[in-house]
Amino acid sequence: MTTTESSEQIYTGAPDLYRKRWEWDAVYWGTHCVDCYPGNCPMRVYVKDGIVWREEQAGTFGTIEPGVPDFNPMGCQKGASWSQSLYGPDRLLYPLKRVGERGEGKWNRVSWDDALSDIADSMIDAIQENGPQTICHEGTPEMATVAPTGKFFSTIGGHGLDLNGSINDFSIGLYETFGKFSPVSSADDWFNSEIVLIWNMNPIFTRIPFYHFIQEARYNGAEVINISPDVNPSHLHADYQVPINGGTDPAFGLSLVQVMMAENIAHWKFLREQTDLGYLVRLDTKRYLRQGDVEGKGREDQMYQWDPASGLKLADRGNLFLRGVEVAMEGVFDVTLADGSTVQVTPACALLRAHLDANFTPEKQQAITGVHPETIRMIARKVAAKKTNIMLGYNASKFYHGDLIERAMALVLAASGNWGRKGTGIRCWAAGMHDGQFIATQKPGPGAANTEIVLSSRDAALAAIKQTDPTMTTEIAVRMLGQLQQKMQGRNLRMGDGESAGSGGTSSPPAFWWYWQAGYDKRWNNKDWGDDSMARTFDEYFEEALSKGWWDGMDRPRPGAEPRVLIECGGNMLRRTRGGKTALLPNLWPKLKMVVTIDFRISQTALYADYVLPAAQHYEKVGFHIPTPHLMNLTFSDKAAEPAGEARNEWDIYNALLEKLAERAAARGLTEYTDTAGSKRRYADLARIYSMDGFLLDEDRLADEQIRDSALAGTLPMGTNLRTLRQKGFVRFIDWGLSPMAVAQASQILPNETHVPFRDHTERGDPFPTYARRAQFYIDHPWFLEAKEELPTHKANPKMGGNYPLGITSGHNRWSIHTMNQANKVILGTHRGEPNVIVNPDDAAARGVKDDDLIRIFNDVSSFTSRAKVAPNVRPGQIISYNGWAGFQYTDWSGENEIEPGMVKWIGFAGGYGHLQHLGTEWQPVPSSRWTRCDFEKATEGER
Amino acid sequence: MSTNGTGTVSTGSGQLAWVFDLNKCIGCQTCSVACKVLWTRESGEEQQWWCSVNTQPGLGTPKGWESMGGGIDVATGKPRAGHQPTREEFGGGWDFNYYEVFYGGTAGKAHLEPQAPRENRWAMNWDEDQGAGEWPNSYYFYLPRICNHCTNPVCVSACPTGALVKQEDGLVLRDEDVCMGDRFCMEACPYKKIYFNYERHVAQQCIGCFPRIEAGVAPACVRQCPGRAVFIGRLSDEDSPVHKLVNEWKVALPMHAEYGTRPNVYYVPPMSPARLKEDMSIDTENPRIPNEYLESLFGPDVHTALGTLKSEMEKVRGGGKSEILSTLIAYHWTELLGPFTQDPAELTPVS
Amino acid sequence: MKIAKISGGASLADPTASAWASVESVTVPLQPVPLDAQPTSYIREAWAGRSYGKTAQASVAAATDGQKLYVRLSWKDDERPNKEFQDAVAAVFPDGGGALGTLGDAEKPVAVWFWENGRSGGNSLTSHGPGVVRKDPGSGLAAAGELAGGSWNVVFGGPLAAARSGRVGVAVWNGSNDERGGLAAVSRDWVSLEQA
Ligand code: SF4
Ligand code: SF4
Ligand code: SF4
Repeated sequence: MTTTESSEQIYTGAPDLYRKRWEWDAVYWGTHCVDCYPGNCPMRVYVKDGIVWREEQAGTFGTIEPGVPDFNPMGCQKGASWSQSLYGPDRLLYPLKRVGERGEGKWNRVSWDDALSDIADSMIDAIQENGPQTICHEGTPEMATVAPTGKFFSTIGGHGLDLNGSINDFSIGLYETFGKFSPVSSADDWFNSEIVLIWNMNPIFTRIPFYHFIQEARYNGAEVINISPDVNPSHLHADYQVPINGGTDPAFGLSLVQVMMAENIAHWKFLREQTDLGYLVRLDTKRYLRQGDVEGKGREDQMYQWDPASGLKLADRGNLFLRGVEVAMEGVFDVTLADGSTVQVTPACALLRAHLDANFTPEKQQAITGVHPETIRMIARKVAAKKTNIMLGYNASKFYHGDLIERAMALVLAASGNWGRKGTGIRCWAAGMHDGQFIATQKPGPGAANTEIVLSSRDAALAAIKQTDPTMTTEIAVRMLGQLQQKMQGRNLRMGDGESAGSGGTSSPPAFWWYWQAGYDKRWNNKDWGDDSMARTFDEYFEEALSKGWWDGMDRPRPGAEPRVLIECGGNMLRRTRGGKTALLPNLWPKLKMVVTIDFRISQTALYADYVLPAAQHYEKVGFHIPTPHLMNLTFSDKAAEPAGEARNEWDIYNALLEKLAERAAARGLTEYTDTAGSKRRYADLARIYSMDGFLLDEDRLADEQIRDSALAGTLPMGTNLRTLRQKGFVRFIDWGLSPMAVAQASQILPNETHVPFRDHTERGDPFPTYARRAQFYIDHPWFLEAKEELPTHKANPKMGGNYPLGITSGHNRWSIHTMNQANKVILGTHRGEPNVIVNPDDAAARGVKDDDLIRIFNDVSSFTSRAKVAPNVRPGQIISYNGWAGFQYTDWSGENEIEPGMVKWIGFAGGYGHLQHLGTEWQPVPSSRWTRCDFEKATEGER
Repeated sequence: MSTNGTGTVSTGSGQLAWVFDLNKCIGCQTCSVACKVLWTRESGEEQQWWCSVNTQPGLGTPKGWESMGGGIDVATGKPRAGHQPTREEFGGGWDFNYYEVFYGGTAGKAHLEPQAPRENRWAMNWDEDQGAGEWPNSYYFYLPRICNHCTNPVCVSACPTGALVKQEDGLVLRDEDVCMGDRFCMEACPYKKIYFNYERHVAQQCIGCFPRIEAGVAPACVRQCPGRAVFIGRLSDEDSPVHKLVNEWKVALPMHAEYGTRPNVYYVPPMSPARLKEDMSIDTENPRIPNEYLESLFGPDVHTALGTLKSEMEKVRGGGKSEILSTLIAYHWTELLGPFTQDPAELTPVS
Repeated sequence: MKIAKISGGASLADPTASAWASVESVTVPLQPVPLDAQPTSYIREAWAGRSYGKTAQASVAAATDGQKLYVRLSWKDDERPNKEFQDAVAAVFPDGGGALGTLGDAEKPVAVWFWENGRSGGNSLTSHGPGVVRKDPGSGLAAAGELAGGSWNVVFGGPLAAARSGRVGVAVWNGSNDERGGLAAVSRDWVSLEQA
């Protein structure tokens, strides 16, 4: 029977041809488990003759909150043509071995056995030379690879780089303010907003599945304001487009706050309770007044407020609520110190107001931002009066002073009381909730009893930490535990690891790797490209950070411990890194004796690898997407078809590699080696440990165990298992679990309501995990004082790349997920099929450039060529190169990332101050690229 | 093989109509990609985008289609001569040098690019996001287009072989066994939404996803639109949003009604952000898309439609309720799908 | 015109085959299918000011090997390339009693052997007027064409039964002038077909 035989064929003369095209044998659930964040679109994958024929959004979400639109039909054009990538021309089908020079593009197809033998030999060489930590990988959010890669490196004791440090989706300013950067509303909560500020985000490109909530909010009465230098696509459905000079957003935000305070429409109670602006600051040192100052002893991080009725008041570190006390927000007070001397103190808010009044009145900000003062006043009044949500992407964080942008944004929300209730907040990203995904692969063995061991040891560790400070919330304890583990790594056991000895690897922020291994030390010390507000050289700060021990245990790989084997599994280091070709290839690659790429598609990095191993694609294995509060559901992707060619899933590949490692080691008479912690690991045991005696190699069994473990951890409803997911495709989470980013939501999950983070802060007064225990707008770390950044302020973009007239910006494009789908012919047919750089007609004319001409974009760092797209949506002086083109789409395989020097703001190396301490994906130095200086000229066709 | 496990669905009669809400469309091309992956990925169909999305103002697809003629002279009722869009004017459908780049030993030299002459190169969405005007008042919006399944389908009447049939419920379908590839339809269609298959030598166009309609499943462009911007329904069904938006509230308008074919795809016209004055202050009185431009697309009624939308928006912002805006919100996604709410995955596959 | 009888497996299906040199051919004048006979108002409107069917004449030859009827049609081409439309030709038989000048009409069709440059084989059609055609499935019609020295030579090989009516006509479409459907030049008169 065909689809249509039992349907009524009502159309006469309509060709049966098309009825036959719409036929299938089987349907599976699927989604695209890459770093498509938030992604998670539940699709139905239709299979015909054992081949994935097509996919279509499921459209089966129910209503969560009555009166709020549902999530259907989540998806995008990439997802709707994923099947065309699955069997596309960049799909890897067989193991490939490089012949000829690296990057020469000459390959031999080899057997799995040959490939693994050669790789295993290199690994043994590396271990013999300098230990397993010289075998490295860079983290990747390619979700399907995270657990298998993590487990592999933990098993051998290898080294990993923090992915968020590389991609820099770290909202550093939010982190500085809140002690966490991951407040994420569920996307349906956007509907509850009354004012939507699209600010350093382009959701029309980047939030295709969720954008509708913004327009629906507008139909529901909200006003949408798009703030951007260019008239980007997200202006389209806004009420107001606010053109702002590139990177001047802090001045804009601070001016909004200036107006709210000056017009006394600021939410003072909110500011008093939720923020540190009521804390007293010593006028002599500009530092907080601390318990030690007054009492001669006590906590270093215990600060004071001023109660107008009774004077000095110890700030409550355990709860934000002031219970009626209107602590002073202005005024100067005398305080007698323990040594008998007297100092003058003032609330941080008073310092802030003086700073704002002096520098950021609407008129003064206009000179910086170009925004009309009346626009500032209009927006400030709206925001102060209405539930406001800032749509922040990962754009602000990529400005050199991106932290200042985000601190200003956070201050706008604080002054208007806009977090912790529906329709408010700011967004970044968060993952978590599917705790079972990691518990199942790290517990001592299969089964619920082993899960209980992990869960109870986790609970015990948290209880122990909480005992050290009764004011500590679980959220804070979770972070402290994580930070502790980060410091202890390589020296001690990691909790929850299955093996009692010799387990766990090391990890570090990539900044150290770049500095010591990839030649970035020179770039970061280049004064011409750097921050002219630095009082000392970059290296002086760097040395101080190291000597103070702020990065102990994480400052690697150091010189002398050079990486030897690089395994990129799902990652694409050469395209991702600012300077993949200009810095990594000349400096890092020569150190690497073996570069392996495991992927389902040819990537830029694969093209410079020694071996390329074909992995199963998402429709060919059982997996899950990155669980996100944006959706609050665990989404499931099933194995709909056998892996194409000789592709294998990652668990299987790593296991085979470890088996081969044991075999080759035995042949060389080697039985064991010593890891970073000094423990012995036996080659012969590795595969068994890795696969938990084969348990992890059964895809269905593993997925089932992961789901059940999440249920045991309390994040999924009891009784949820693989069968549930196979039936429904997704299940809504009921609790956060214990991963830091999820706990950071600080809000209860309610079954019939949208999710808004920070309700625990606003409704219960739970403290923030900052040094100050409140949203912290005054950071008295010595470096911040030295930088004059103790308060949110504005600083001009440094001249990254040299003194050139244009600024280049970027952002995720509409057409690909990073480079994924860049080779998908269907998608290539929705645009010009090759990279372009958008330039203003005036800038083009001044350089004799017409639309689609080849241009060369250059600065001190390097140059690249691209087609010009001449359009008035970009302002004069700005050029835009949307991110995600593969290097191999450019004439000489160099893209925009090659002219970006990858400067990191030195202040990111600060530490030793409460929340300014590393935890995976969080506090660390991150590279910037927005508004890199450059110029362009017409290039000759055929120019390389 | 699969079959409709839930029984048969009669589409009933009454003209089917689409409404695209341009205030919700984000130009994501999911509709066009969904359509392409479903219907036109065979050899000979590379260039075809039965559903396409363009940036307006722009030349669109095929290049300059709005000045290619065709349609019906409203005054005389006579068809007007039209230009048959050429392969070049459609553009796209390229091959790429994948093998050379990945495996050809030419690394760093050859790069992945369309294998097509540079001169006069064009594609379905070539002028994406270019728009018009001058920064900071540059403006643009997205316009998805499919065959309009016109009430007065000049493609049907132009065809000498009778291959095209206007069905009872208004879909315009071609019997490809009858089609001789004469392409008079392509000339006559003023919307230039017919493609030619140079391999099979037949013309092809949007089939209204009729096999899905027969099974009670909404067309791909409707069901797969993540912007929730597309409605389908019967104009004669007074309860359907399509009827209300088009006939009752008149906020959805045909495009280029002057082409005379009485299209059945309607558009809610775009409200655009306020313009900026010389001094960069906001000019709340004037939207950045010039009204005359919208009038050139949607006719003089566009002013009333925009006026209605504006006053409804104001009503809601003042705390009132608006049935029009609630309809456009479509709290439940299925409200967009008209009578075609069957989940295709629930159609039982039978081997 | 006589249908030449050629035996011994000569390759009549090949338009350039030497066997055709010995076959008698007749040159017939062509004229445009009238505009007012065009079947749709669109075509009549769109082509009102455009000329078509200007191919002035064509030659016809016929032969058989006893199994099939081979008809060879030749005409001079202007050789202007057109990316969209191709040169085409038809041998027309008055099977349904239809008029040649309009390629049949609603009641009385004609039978058409149709060949178009660039497409393999031929199409056997029933024509109820200019461009008003239906494909006859499974007709077993073969066709091949060759452009040489500025002239097209096209050979059809079809059922011998087609010769029963004893008459054949010619229609030519000049692709470079966008001619297709009923926009053709057609022979003024039938050419007689006599069994050898
Ligand atoms: S690629 Fe991402 S956004 Fe698109 S359908 Fe898949 S998961 Fe959704
Ligand atoms: S899928 Fe919807 S939102 Fe996207 S381009 Fe098409 S109509 Fe617009
Ligand atoms: S849009 Fe064109 S092809 Fe579609 S029905 Fe109308 S005239 Fe015919």
